[in-house]
Amino acid sequence: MKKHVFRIGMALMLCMMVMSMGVMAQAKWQPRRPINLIVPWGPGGASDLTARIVAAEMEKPLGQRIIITNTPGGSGAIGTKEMFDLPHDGYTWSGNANGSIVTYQVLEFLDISHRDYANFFAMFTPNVICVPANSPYQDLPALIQAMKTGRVTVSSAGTGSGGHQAAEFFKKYAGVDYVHVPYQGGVYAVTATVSGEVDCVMQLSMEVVEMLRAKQLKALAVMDNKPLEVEGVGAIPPITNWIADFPSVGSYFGLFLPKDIPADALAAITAAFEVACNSDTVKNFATEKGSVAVCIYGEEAEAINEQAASLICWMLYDGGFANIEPSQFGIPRP
Amino acid sequence: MRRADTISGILVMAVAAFFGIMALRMPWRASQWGITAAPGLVPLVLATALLLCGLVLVTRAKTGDAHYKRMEALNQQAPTCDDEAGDAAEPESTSEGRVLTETQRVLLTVGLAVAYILLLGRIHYAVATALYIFASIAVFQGKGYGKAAIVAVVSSAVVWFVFTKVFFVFLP
Amino acid sequence: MSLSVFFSEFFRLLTPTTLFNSLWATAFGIIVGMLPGLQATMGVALITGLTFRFPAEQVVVILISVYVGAIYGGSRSAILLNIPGTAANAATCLDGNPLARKGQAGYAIGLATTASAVGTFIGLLTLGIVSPLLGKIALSFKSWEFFTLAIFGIVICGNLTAPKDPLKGWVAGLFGLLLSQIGRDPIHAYPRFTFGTVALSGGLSLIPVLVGTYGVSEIIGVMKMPKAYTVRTKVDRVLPRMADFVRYWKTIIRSGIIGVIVGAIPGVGEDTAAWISYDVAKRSSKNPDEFGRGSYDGLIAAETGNNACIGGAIIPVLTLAVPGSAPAAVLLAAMWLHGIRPGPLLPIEQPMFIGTVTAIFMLATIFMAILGLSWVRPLVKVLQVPRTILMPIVLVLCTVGAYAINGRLFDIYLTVLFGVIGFFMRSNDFPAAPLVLGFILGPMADDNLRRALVISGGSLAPFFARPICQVLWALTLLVIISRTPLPRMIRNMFKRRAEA
Repeated sequence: MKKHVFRIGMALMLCMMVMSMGVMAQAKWQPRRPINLIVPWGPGGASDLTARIVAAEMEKPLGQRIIITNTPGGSGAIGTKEMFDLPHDGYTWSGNANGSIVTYQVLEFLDISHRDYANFFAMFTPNVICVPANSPYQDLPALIQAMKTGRVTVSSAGTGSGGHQAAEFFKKYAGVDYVHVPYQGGVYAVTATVSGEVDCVMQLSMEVVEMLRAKQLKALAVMDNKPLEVEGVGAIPPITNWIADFPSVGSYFGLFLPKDIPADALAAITAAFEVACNSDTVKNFATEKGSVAVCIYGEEAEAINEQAASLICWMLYDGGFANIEPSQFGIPRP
Repeated sequence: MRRADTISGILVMAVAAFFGIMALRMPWRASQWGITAAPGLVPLVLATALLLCGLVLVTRAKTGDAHYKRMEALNQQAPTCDDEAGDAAEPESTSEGRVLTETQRVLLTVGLAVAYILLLGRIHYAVATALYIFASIAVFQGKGYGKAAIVAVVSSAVVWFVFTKVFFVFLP
Repeated sequence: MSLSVFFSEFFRLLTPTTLFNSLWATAFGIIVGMLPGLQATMGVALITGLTFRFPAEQVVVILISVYVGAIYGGSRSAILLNIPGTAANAATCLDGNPLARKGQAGYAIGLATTASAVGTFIGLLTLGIVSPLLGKIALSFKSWEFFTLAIFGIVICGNLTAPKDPLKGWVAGLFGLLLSQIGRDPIHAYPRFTFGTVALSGGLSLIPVLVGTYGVSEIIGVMKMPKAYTVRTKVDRVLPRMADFVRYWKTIIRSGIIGVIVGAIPGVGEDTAAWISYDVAKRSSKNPDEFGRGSYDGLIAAETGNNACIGGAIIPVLTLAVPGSAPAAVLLAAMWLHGIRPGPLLPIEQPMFIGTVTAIFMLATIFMAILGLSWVRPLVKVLQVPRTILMPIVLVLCTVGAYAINGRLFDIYLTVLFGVIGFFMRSNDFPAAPLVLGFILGPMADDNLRRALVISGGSLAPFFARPICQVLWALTLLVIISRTPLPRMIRNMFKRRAEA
């Protein structure tokens, strides 16, 4: 009798060991408590909406709730700092745009470099040059001609914001000047153009798409090298039709985590991110908002950031908006 | 009120001077828009206005007899609602076992609050909250510690539960 | 939008699910609004997160019900505790609390409820009928108009709650204005008064300043008194007498209109609407001295104004996709998330939607009135909880409110700091309201002034040439002049002539 018990016991133990090894081999990082997704912008903006949609689709693969907290201020610096101050354990994320995070260091908002993030890009929105529907400038050459006087007003979401960056690029590559009129957010910059308070706006496609559909704004060009198809508006011509060497100017929206989170957490989050990007919800959101759904992370994303940092930071420094030379942070000239 | 006004007036002037001096140290001509868009313009205007108000306050406290006479008259002819509360209310003297002066009460209230917010983020939210509520009731009542403890634990548990489990809001 | 659309939508909404959702959402809103420290914006935001998977139309029903409930609910704590439940109810404290201390807590609540219901109704009426028109007017508010409006709001500071001593009101207002300048300036992003910290570079948040100055300072004030007071809590009458209410019909209409217009202006919200309504009511009243001592007129003005503002705030949301107030911003975000596309295309793509929203409003108003009037007696019992127990709990809620919306411990420190500042101000007869109002209006003034100058190339001419600006300047001048001895002199002149 005792021998049988002993043998059964050994067999059971062996089974358990084999099973647990199998389980360990498949062991995935499962978040044990809700995840805190800090959006360092106000509710309803492009970063906020993208983060919410992507997070909603990531909840199921991760098996845990993702809770959004809006912590606006300092062009996204404050919320970003909150994320970095909390433990880097994979439970705290942020939702932002790469066009913003590359500027924080050189604009002296934070001393966190774009190289400190694990990036997950879900959406690419190029900048679009728009004028009010009844503007005297109905195509790009007319606008360029008018801007040669240097008196055309261009609104943006604030100094250093995506719309401002786009305007500076335009100034450099079209060889013109303009009067920059900053507002407290993309929504207000766009509304100001619709009302005619300013002559032109170069914000992201996500922010202007509704006004374009309503025929309150007219899109003159998209800052990319291929036309942008927007449902309900048609194809917006690429700026390279007129200025051949214009770089692609836009922002990648998505999730930004501290780079040094545990490896298994990173793997699980990446897998969940892929699932989210392939979902219909995210793809429909992109088309609705005149953007392009992408799924870029890891080295590919970092390469994009390096390019963006070079372009944007040096442009800000040359324009006198940044006081520190970007080479001090190891950012080479483009 | 006159002496209090003199002190307040001086304080107001100090605050105004502080903001004003910091505003003057901001760049004034450094941008493409010229002086009208200088970051220090509006703060300087505001600080100057505040300084003037502070000055008037101090001057009036020293020499404005007419003003204070008018205040006295107004206060007497139309009693404030605090006085009315004095008539209509019944002072509750039984449940509070401790008798403290007003200054002590203010210091205790603020001190307890400061201790609480410093604990937040360092120890678990529900624990800190329960400690604070218990301490606050105990200090001001001086008796009934058992009931105080129950109230403290129950209310902090409810707040914690409702916000973290029902609404998924992160608490400090 | 024609009346038939409104009625058809309203009856379509009378399904058990919708009614149930509106009921619990309104109740939730009232509770959130009532708890000091928790704001309407937070209530709407919390529910947006919870209802992410609900069908779109139900989400709109729920969110609007929460919004209406919260703005009304704040009047409870304003009346009972002298702590406004939300920013919008700060003006309600002034007359609501004195009424409670006089033993008329129940009646005050009844008045506030009715006023809020009527105000919401005026708001929804305007929303339904003149949305497109008001949307256009809102669009014509540009930087110049915003600046002039901010100046008008600031000038009112001298009058608010410091009728005896406008100088102290001005000091509080200027202090609030200076505090609003902390942070990065809107044109250059140059850090002002930040001492190099990241925490201050975003400026001070409104919620901590508001909750601290009103809530925490009141807590300190209550605890300071050597003897606790209990207020007579006999609740004999809740439903306001028709006569009492109808007597102030002018105030009601006026406050309703002011509330809607202020709401329609993007970025200016319920708190400003309540204050302007209150101030105008006081000016036009035959008994201005009663204001601040328990005037029904003042209470009605404040509550009608802030609720009418809700309807107004939704107008730019629907017609321009621009929020008219902070809770409206969350509502807008929620709509986008659920595939509703507010904005200039709405009349074309979803023409019935404005009618639906108006009908939802109606539903929420009805529930608000029912719940509000039936919940009086149990809630007045709150006053009987000994202050030693009630005050610490209120402080805890204040800190939760300050933290939950932005998630920063720094905000909680600010709340207590402003509690202390507010307490000392009040002890020396400096009113708290102008501080908060200055803080809210400061960015509007600074931002728009400098931007307008950038656009006009440094010229001040447009400020005086544009029609809306001219109207606002005229009103501002009127307010300033009424504070000087001039009106008295003119009146005395006429009196002498009449006697002669």
